[in-house]
Amino acid sequence: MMDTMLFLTIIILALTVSAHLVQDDHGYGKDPDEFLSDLSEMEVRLSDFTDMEDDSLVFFTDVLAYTVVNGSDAERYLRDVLDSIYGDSSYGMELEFQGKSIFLGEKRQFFSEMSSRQYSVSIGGSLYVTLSLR
Amino acid sequence: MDFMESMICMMAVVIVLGLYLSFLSVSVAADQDQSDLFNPDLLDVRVKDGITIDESYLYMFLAETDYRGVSIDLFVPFFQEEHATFSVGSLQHEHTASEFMDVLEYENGRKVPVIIRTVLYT
Repeated sequence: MMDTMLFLTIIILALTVSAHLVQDDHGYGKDPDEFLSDLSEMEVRLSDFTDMEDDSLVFFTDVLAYTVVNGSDAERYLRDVLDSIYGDSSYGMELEFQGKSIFLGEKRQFFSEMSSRQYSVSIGGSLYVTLSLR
Repeated sequence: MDFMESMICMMAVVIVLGLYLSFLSVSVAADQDQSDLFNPDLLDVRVKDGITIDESYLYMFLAETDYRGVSIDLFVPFFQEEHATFSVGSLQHEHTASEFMDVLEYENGRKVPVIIRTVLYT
């Protein structure tokens, strides 16, 4: 009885180690947490993606917050960037601001990796972004 | 089960565990591909009369690994669709390709993603 218990414990430990090693498959630049971190560093001009004739530099997350409510070319831009990195059917990204949300990518129930982040928006409030990878 | 049988069972378990751990270490060592040594952060991508990189890192990478060539393809979505390519060494047998993203200090103070596609050749 004791031997069986010991054997089972060792097998479970071995399987846990194996599963951990197999999961660590994403290389540099593929980690969703890393992508969301990079998102907070991005700065663009307001006129790059909106109809506003304002050339001031703003954080891209501010433009995304604006996009969630009003729509802009930033949505297509972000989709192009995500497609380039993850492939067009390998991710799902949800952006939420002031009770409204938009979704980019593929809606799936199960993803292997997921990361969420909250960004302060300069006009007030917070933008919530969740990135999931297949 | 007497004492001897318990000891034999215990030894069998230890042997199986030892074999598993040695198999695991060999597998992990095999997975440590030399391509993992490539660090796109060290490319030092800049914008000065077009996109430039520090090619000396590519030479250093080739010197430290068994690869014989490396090519880098860069593009900045939306802002610069035209790709910038750089290559060093012999580009004959493609071994592995990877894509990375970095935040680039682009024109007029913008900080935007640059997509870096790397192909390593043996």
